[in-house]
Amino acid sequence: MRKKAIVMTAFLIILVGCGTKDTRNIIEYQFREGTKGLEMQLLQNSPPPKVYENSDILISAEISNLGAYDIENSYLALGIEDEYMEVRDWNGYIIKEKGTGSKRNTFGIQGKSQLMPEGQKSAITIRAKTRTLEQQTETHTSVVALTACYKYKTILEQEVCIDPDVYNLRNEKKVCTVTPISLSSQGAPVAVVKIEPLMLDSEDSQQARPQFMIYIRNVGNGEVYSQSIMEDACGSSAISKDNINMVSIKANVAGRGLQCTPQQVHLKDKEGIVKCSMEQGVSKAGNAFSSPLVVEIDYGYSFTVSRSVEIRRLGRQ
Amino acid sequence: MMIPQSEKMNKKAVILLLVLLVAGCTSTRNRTSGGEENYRTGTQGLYMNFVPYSPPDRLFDDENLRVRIELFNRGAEDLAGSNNRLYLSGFDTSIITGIPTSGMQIPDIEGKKMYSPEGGFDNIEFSGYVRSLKEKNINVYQPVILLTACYKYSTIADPSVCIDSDPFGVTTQQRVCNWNSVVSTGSQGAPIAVTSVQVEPQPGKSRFKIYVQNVGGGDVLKDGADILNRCNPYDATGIDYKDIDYVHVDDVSIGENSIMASCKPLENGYLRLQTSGAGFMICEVDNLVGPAYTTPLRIKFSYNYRQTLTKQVRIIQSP
Repeated sequence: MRKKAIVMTAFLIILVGCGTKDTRNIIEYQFREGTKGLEMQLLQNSPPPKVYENSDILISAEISNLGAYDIENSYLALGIEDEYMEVRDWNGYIIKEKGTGSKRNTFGIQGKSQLMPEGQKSAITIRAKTRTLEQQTETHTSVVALTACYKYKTILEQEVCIDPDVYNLRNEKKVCTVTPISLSSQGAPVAVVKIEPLMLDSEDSQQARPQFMIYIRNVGNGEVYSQSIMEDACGSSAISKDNINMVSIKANVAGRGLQCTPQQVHLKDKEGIVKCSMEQGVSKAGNAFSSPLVVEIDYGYSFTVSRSVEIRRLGRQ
Repeated sequence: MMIPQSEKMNKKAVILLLVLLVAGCTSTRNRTSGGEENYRTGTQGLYMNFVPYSPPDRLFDDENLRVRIELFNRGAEDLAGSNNRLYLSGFDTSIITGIPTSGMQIPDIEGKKMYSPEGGFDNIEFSGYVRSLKEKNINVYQPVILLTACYKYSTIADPSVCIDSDPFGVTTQQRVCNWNSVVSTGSQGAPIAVTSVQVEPQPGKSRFKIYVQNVGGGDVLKDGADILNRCNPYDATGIDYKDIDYVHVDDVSIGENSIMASCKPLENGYLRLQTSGAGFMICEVDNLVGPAYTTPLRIKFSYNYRQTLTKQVRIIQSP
């Protein structure tokens, strides 16, 4: 009887072990998609809609990196009216300078990856204090704004067709054709939305020169800045308009660098176009082949969440 | 009611015997009335396919890439010669390295014969190496690998035709054959086939309209080693439009008499096929005398042939 029980138990264990498998493939998770980067949300009642003078208030936010790039050494800035509020300290796992009374702090948060398919999510808390209202003031409505200014990167990996037969004179089977490619998102708020490949003759008659027109668009809900002025974007310094809506771009085909013009792209009405070409060319003695085009766009991004807070005189109902 | 054991055994024995008889009487071989195999049939020359999992559908970088191909000669001509070659292309050679751009020679493979009705076979392996994708900041690379075979082949057709020097004459003499306006010939164990012969007899003369078709699914190229070398996808010149859809007419003869000189339209001995793969030529025999007789109309073409096969491979960056 005991032997039977052992055999049955072993059989059940094997049966359960051989049951349904999780068919998701972790290695091949496609994390470079989506139009979001950093997402922020002020928590309910934090700050509360009404608060008294001379009292502590907590400003809490949930911060998530829903894009495909890790944020490092970026800024969070609290926008408050200095006459009515002051910052006491910052707290949160991702905050670098905890305990400071500054209105600005640095932070870092990981994005989506193969090992972290949903990106990192964290909460921060800023402890502030309301000041005493003026004698004649019973209530004052103040806006509390939390701004994130962060450096980001869009990385596109897209297979393109390289066909050295520029004029299509060779009569042979080709594994691909040179055609425009439409894209949607790459896990970042600035996206490559279209690629127009073109094969050109080179000065060297034995070479063909691939060229790509790359169309970029700000698909997020924030503002784009040049990466070099991100500290100023969350500070009080003025920002030159040349640094607004500015991205930096570089590209390569399977490690072979492309020359991009312009390298610093100004987005007009949220869109921009770059021309990148492989100056060293590819040999015409060859069949059409597919190769990965890698485009990297560096930029700064910023957006703000805010809430109104009514500051009341003590004793007022 | 219980059936006796011995009766059960008898029934089983009868069923077994019947099964054996049916199996023994089943024949899949196509025999002619003379007991000879007609091996000059079929529309293929070289047949090729990728050995399963070689290459695998998915592999990691920093690994060897092995591509093994099975080759079958399903036509009636032998494959022989160092200019018959296989090539692999379609991928970025900075990522997949070590595959020779000069290709690999197709081994000599016998065609179908009377005593070897399936033809010969062999296999060949390309070995390459996948470079690190991480160094190139690439997560996945999915090339379509293109296999190209370029080889020399020929077609021999010998349909029987009725030669009648007086096709419309009234005679009491019995004719041994009556001319048929169309002789269907089917295929001849090669990718280029003579599909039919239209006979147009006249007194003292017969005209043959010979229909030719590319039935192999590939591209027919002019013969010659130079064309075969330019069939290489890595060749600087490559094949252009004036090299394709031509077959060389080696011979058209009635009995022992060649009538090739009468064949039209030929361009320096080449018959041009349309882009649809079909073409025809008209040959004639004259100075016919005597009663009607049956004789083979022997037609021989030679050409180069190009076939391709593709397979997509997914190469992933090692974790």
